Order: sequence, then C-alpha cells, then structure tokens
Amino acid sequence: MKKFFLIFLTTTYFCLAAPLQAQSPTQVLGESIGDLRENLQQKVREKLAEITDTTPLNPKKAYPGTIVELNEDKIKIRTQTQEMEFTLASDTAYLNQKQRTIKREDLKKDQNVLLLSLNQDTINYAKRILLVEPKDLENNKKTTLGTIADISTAGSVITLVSVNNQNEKLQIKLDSKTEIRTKDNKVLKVSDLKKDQKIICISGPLDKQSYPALRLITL
Amino acid sequence: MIKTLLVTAFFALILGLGLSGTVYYLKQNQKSRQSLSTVVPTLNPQAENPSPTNTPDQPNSTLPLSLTITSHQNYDLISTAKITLTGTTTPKSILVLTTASQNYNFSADDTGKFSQAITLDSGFNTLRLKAISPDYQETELTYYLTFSTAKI
Repeated sequence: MKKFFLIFLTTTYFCLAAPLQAQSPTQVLGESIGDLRENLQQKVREKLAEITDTTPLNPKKAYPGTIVELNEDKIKIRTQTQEMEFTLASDTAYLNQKQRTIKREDLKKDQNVLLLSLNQDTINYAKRILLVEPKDLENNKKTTLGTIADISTAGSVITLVSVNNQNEKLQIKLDSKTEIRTKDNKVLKVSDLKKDQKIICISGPLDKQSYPALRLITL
Repeated sequence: MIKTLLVTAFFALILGLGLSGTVYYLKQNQKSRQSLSTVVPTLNPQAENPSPTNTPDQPNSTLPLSLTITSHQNYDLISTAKITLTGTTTPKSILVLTTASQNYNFSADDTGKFSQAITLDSGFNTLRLKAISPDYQETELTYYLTFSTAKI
C-alpha cells in the first residue's frame, strides 16, 4: 500500500508540474536579448553613418571675438564660448572697419575683431584680422510659430499668439514689403489670412511695440 | 486506509498546484520585465516619425526635435556666396532660415533630409535656422558662416 501511495504522490506532483517546466525561460530571455541587440546594432549603424557622412574639416575658419592678448607673434581672442589663440604670420593682414589696411600695432586689447584663420600643420594661423562692430554681425530677425488671434480691419496689424508659449503675444505689423506665402512658397494676399490660422512669422526687431513682418508663411 | 490515501492525494494536489502557480507567476513576472526593457529602443523611431494621430495642439515636449547641418561646419570660411545648405531633422518638418538680408522657407523630405540653395552676404553671416515638425515642435540652430574671397 505504501508503495502504491508513493507512486500516486509522485505521479500527481510531476503531472502538475511537468508542463510548466517544459517552457524554457532562458529561450524567451535569449530571444529578447537578441531583439535588443539587433535594435542597438541598428542604432549604432545609423549613428556611424551620420558621423561618416559629415563633411571633411574645413581648415579655413572665421571667428568673431574680442582681443584678450596680443604680442608680436600671437593673438588671443575671446569668442562667445571660449578663448582661442592664433599665431600671427608674416603675411597676416590687418584691416579697420572701412576695410583699409592698418598695422598690427593699431590693434588693442578689448577691440572687437573678425579673425580669419587657416589651420596648417596643426597650427592655427591668423591670416586676416578685421576690426568690426559687433552689432553689424548680428541677425536680429525673429521667427515665430503662432496662431492668428486677431486681424485689424485694415489688415495691417496681426495679433499672433505663440503656439508653444501661450503667454507670448505679438503685434505684427504688415507693410508693402511683407511677403505672404504658403509653405510651398506660393504667393498669397493679406485677405487670404484668417483668424485662428497657424502661421510662421519672420519679423524684424521690435519697433514701437510691434514687430515688422518680413515674411508670413501659412501652414 | 482509503481515508489516509485520499487525504494524502489531496495534499499532493494542493502541493502540486501551489508549486505550479508559483512557477507560473515567476515566469509571467519575468516576461513583463523583458517586454519593458525591449520597448526602449523603439522609442526613437516613434519620435522621428510622429504618429499622424498626434494632436497638433499638444506638442510632445519630452522628445526634443533634432536639427543638424551636414554640409558645413560652424564658423566655416567660404569663398563662394552661393552655397547649398543640407542637413537633417524630423521628417516633413518646415524649415525657416534667415540671414541678415535674406529669408528662406523650405521642407524636409520623408526621411528628414533637407537641402536649400542660399546666398550669403559678404563677410560674416549669422544664420538662424528654425525647424517646425508636423506636430508643431520647434527647435532653432544658430550657425556662423563667413563669405570672403580674400586669399587666406
């Protein structure tokens, strides 16, 4: 009887447990790791393609900056992000704001310059140094994606609410020079603009509480 | 004797069910963890190809819009005024480029690539390039290119 009991107990246990043991957890894990590896390899391939597609380094660069140090054979300028040192060559040209040739001695610390450089044999040469007015190098245009909240009856002023910043409300002033286009560059008229329409506005710097519209692009 | 046998069989059944249940629970738990970890690599393709069902007025701020210029490097000195600016961004984005004197608008293709012929002003140019994705995410890139014919 005891023998029968043991056989019964063993059979019952293995009958219930056996089907679950048949599923191999390592196989599922292996498949998932395989998928993950494949996805990662794909991403790495894409990134490598992006890197290898880049243009070869151009040895000629132009940096705007302020003179920090200047001596007979070196010039150090401070750009927006860093300080950079260049070697002055025997043929380095120095020019004032009117593009007239000046001497190296005419350059002083804290002057604003545009420095044209050439990288040769790992040395950065300053080949042309121009005195500049920083504001002449700026681009003060503003590009805004917004919804037309209001159009004046004359159609010369538009109130634009930024799509991604509801607190930003702009008065856009239109004039005869304002271009109105579709995103495919088809020319439109002011009368084609409607309230609640989404547009992209390229405007000049703020002038008397409104931005002069240079180009409006409908979406 | 039959009573003892039945009681033993009952306990054996309970024991078997308990063990089976435990193994099943552990296996399910493991599966769910695996499926969570395999979701991660598929997030980027979704970001690059925003679903058409996305509500345009609710931009997805968690996934930044990428914008790269591949034809030129920042601060490049160029000897021709007319150049072709190429790069990549989110597919079908609208791009707006401004220089001090010029304005351009163009679109990225289905793969996110864009190409636009532009004319540089003489001297230093501050290029402002803004990309707007189909779901109205925005990103802006400022690039500095100098056009000069001077011998360097």
